[in-house]
Amino acid sequence: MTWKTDVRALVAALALAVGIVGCGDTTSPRSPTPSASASLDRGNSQADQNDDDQGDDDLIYDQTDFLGNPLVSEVTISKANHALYNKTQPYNTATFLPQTAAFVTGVAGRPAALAQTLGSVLYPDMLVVDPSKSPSTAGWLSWALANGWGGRKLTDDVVDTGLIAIFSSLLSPTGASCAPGQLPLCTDNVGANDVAFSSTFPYLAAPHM
Amino acid sequence: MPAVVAGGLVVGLATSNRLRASDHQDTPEVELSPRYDVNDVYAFPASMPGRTVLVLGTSSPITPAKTASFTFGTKDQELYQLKVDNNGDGKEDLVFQFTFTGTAGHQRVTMHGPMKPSEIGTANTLLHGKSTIAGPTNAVLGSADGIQLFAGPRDDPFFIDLEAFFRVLPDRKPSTGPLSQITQGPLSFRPAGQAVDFVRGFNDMAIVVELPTSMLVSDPAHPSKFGVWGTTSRARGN
Repeated sequence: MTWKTDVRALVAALALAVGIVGCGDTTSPRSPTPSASASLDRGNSQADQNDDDQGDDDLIYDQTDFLGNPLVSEVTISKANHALYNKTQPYNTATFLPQTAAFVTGVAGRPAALAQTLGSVLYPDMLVVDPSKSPSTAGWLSWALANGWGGRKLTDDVVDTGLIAIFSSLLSPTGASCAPGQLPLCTDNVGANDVAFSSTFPYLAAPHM
Repeated sequence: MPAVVAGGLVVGLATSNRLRASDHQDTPEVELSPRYDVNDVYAFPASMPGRTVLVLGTSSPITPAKTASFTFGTKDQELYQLKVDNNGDGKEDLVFQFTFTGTAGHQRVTMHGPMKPSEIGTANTLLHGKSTIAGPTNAVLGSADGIQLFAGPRDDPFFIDLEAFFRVLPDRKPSTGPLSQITQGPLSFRPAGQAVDFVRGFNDMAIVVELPTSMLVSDPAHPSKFGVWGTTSRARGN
C-alpha cells in the first residue's frame, strides 16, 4: 500500500528542498580511501562445507532489535514503546503508523495531512529500493520523493532530511518551526561523516585504532 | 506564529518522551547488551553496475577508538539478520543470516542466504544446508556466485550532533555514560562551527554484503521494488 500511495506533489517538493540544502545528495562521489580495503586480510573465500557449528542448529532466536528506516522509531515512537517496537516487524503498520502520525501532529504540532503523508512513506518500516531506477538517484526516500532508486547511502544526511520533513515549512507552513536547513530544529549542522568513505568494498572507512 | 510553535514544542516535549535521531542505545535492554543494538541499516548501489550493497551496523555502545576487544555475539547466543521483502507486503521473502564463532580477534563468520526463511516474524531458526560464505572476520570474503562479505570493526558511518539532540530532549538520553549527564538546553541545535559530530572517531561492528541486485528481486527480468531491514535476535534460553 505504501508503494502505491499518491503523495507525489508533497514529496516532490521535499525532494527539491532536500537537494537545495544539500542533505539529500545523490551525486557526490565517495572519496576513495584505498587503504580501507587494501589493508584488509584476504580471508578464505570458500563456503563452509561442514557448517562448522551445527550444535546450535536447533536454537530459537527471538528478535531483540529491529531497524528499517532511520529515525522512524527514534524520532516518532514514544520511548516507552521502543522495546515493543524493537521486537516488531515492518508490517506492524496498524500499531505504529498512528503513533508516528500522533508525534507529527501532537509533539511537532504539524497538520494531519503532513502526518499522513510522512506515515505513508515510512510504513511498512523498511528501506525501499527501486532497482528499475538509475543508481545515480539513490538516496534515502528518493524512491518516494523523487522517483529514484531509494535505499540509504552512507553519505545521506538522514538527520537533516528527517528534521526538515517533520519541523520545517517545506511541506506546510502551518506549525513550522523553521525553514529547511535552518535553526532551531531543521538541521543539526553536521552534514557529513568525520572520515571519507571508500569507493570500493566494504565502503565503510577503516576503524579508528 | 513562531511563539505558538515554540510553546507547542515545549508542552509536547515536557509531556512525552519522544524524539531521538539515532538508533544507538535506544532501550535499556540494548544499552545493557550492546551487541544486540542495531545502529544503522544501509542499502545502496555498489561501485559496479547491477550490484547492491547492504550494511548492518551493530554492536555499540558507539564503540570508542582503541576499544580492546571488538567482538560479535556468538551463535550460541545471537543471530544477526538482514531481511528483504520483494513483493510489497512488508514480510520477509529472503533473509541473510550471519552467525559467529570464536573469541575476539579470532572470530569466524558464517553467512546463509539470501534464502527463503523457515519462519516469517520475530522468532527465527537457522537456515540449514551449506553456507553461502564462511571465513574469518575482518577480511573480504567471496562466493563463487559473486557475493562479497565483510564482517568486522569499521568507522561508525553515522553522523549527528547527538549532544545537541539530548540538550533539546534530555529525557531521551541514555542512563549511563557521558551523555547521561546532559541537562535541558535551548530548543535548538547548534550553529555551524559549533555543532559537533558526536560519533566522530567511533567504531561499530559492521556486516557488509555486496551481491548482484538480481538476487534480491522476485523477478530479475522485471526488477521491482524491494525493502530491507536488519535485526538482532537472542537465542532463547541462552
